[in-house]
Amino acid sequence: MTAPVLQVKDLKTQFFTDDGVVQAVDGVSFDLYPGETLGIVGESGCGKSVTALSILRLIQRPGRIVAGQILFKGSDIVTLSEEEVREIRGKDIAMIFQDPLSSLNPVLKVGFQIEEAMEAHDKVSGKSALSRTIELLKQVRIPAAESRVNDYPFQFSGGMRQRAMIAMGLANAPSILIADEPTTALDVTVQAQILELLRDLNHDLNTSIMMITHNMGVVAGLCTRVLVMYAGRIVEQGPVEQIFKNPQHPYTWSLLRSIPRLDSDRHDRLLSIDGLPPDLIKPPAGCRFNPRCQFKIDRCRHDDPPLMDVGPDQEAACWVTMRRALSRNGDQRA
Amino acid sequence: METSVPERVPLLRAEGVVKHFPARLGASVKAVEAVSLDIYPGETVGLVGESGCGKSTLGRLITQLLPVTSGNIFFEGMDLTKLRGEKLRQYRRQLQMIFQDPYSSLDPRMTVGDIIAEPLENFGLLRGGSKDKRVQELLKIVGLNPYFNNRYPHEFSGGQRQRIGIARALALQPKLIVADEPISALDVSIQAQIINLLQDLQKEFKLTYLFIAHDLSVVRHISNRVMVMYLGKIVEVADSVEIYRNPRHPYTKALLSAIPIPDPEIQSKRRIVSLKGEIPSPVNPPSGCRFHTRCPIAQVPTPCADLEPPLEEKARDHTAACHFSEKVPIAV
Repeated sequence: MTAPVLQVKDLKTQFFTDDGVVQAVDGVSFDLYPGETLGIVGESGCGKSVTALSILRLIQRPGRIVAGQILFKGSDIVTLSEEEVREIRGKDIAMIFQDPLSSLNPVLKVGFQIEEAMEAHDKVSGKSALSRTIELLKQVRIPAAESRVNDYPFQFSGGMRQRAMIAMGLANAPSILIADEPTTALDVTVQAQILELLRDLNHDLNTSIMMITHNMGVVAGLCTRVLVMYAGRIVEQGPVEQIFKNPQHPYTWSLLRSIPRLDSDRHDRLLSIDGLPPDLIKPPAGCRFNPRCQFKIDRCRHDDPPLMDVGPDQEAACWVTMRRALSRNGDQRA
Repeated sequence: METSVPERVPLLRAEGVVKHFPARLGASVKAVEAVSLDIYPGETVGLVGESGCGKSTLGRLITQLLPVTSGNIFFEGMDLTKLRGEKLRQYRRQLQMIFQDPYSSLDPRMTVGDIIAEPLENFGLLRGGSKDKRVQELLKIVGLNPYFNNRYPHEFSGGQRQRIGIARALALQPKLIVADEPISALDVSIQAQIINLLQDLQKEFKLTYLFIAHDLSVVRHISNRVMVMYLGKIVEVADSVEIYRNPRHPYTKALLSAIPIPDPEIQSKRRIVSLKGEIPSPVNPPSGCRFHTRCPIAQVPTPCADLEPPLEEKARDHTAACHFSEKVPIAV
């Protein structure tokens, strides 16, 4: 097996607010492999975006990475100097955001902003920067790229702005592209186009993509592996086919049954997950999902489950699942 | 299914409804153009389309929050566009609205009790102790603690605020509720709670819903019938199962194909109908069929660019506005 391009080990990122310490990311570990499309799914406040921002060291006060390692190309991003991180940011690891309008400078031409991204890392002559920019805009399928390069962001539609952001992200041929809800603000037909573009870019350039989203459908269409996050933790991870067909964590299972599907012919009542995600200043003892879990046993209330093997390459952090798996194998501990 | 009952009387009927907003230089935004529709008692009609298609404007015209430019809106046979003042106000009780953003649709300086009681006061219905009792009852109906009536909106989560908005809409015991993207600002696990609540309330109070959303999978789930809008016009209306199995307008087909299904096996086999270009400006919509500039099967110029296709019956209880609707299932 090839070596991972990025390794996150026991990452803890916290926010020191007036109300207390928010444990936004609490012991997250995963590997990202070259050319892989990895999905990180979860609801707002589960820590998926904070994980992504931590990788690029973009956590701002009152937040701070308090523990863990982020290993990339033999160095630990957590301990690098600000200058060294800047070398990586936008060059080796690029990021695109949900709202392309607020990520682009409204008073600068789109082409200029892409050239700027290039020049931040490389000395390129004006002429070759322009031709490379046009090439990038063509690569993200912006029609009439030669003239649109001189447009301002307001002259682009929402979908085109996101394409321009992707072009900017690709400007330095990064090995990792982190996409944080890149299609959430877009219409479905435009979303489909952007996902198709990301799929093709991943295929043609072999760029690893980390797709952060709340939309299970987006993960199903783009990713090969998925991490499911809840309340600052990874609760389940594994190959996409397996997680969708055979989810092992009650949260994943419930989430998949709570969304109406386009292809279902029945108007069955949706399964709803009662209650709300917990306050991460004072997360519940034991499993963080236990107050909302319909399968919980006594142990869940006080004992925090680690991620455990539940299938080929599939892990889940759940005592109930663990007990079931053990009894299937005739294990005494069950 | 109810659709087979003959000669039903619609609760609400829109006829040739037009809404133009003034734009710069004497131009106008043609937000809604000659829309006619029926909504029958007890049903849920879904209205879908992408941003800017006019679906929210149409919802506001129906609830009389916006005046029509022309056309008529009949509620139980009465033309609301002809009513003014107190008479219109009395009809408005029957038509309530639930909004998308539970953060901006509740006054942050009012207690939840006052927010829910406001419609009761506006119509001078209940006072004092009986009003408080009704507010607590409404809170209970939407699944909130009845003793939360002295709290302020900021003390509630997004899903709970949406429940408050629903309680306010129910206060006057309306017949028709227009829900404009009521779940799109909520988290996935909370969306199901609100959808289930709306379905329970419909059964309990015999409500009729117009459910406006951009997400066709949610709309299909909750609706008996689905209407699809594109650039100010309704392009297709059908039963929610039928519209997925057998779409007759190329735009509906494209919209359906673009929605991701949370199943990697199915998703990898699906073919996306890619639309050319972008949605044209509603200030200057395309001639003929408004969709012809992006349509994969349009025949230009004749008939698609110069003849507007009427919304007509293509199969039983299934209307579409397309010159080549019979080709859609195969060719698109």
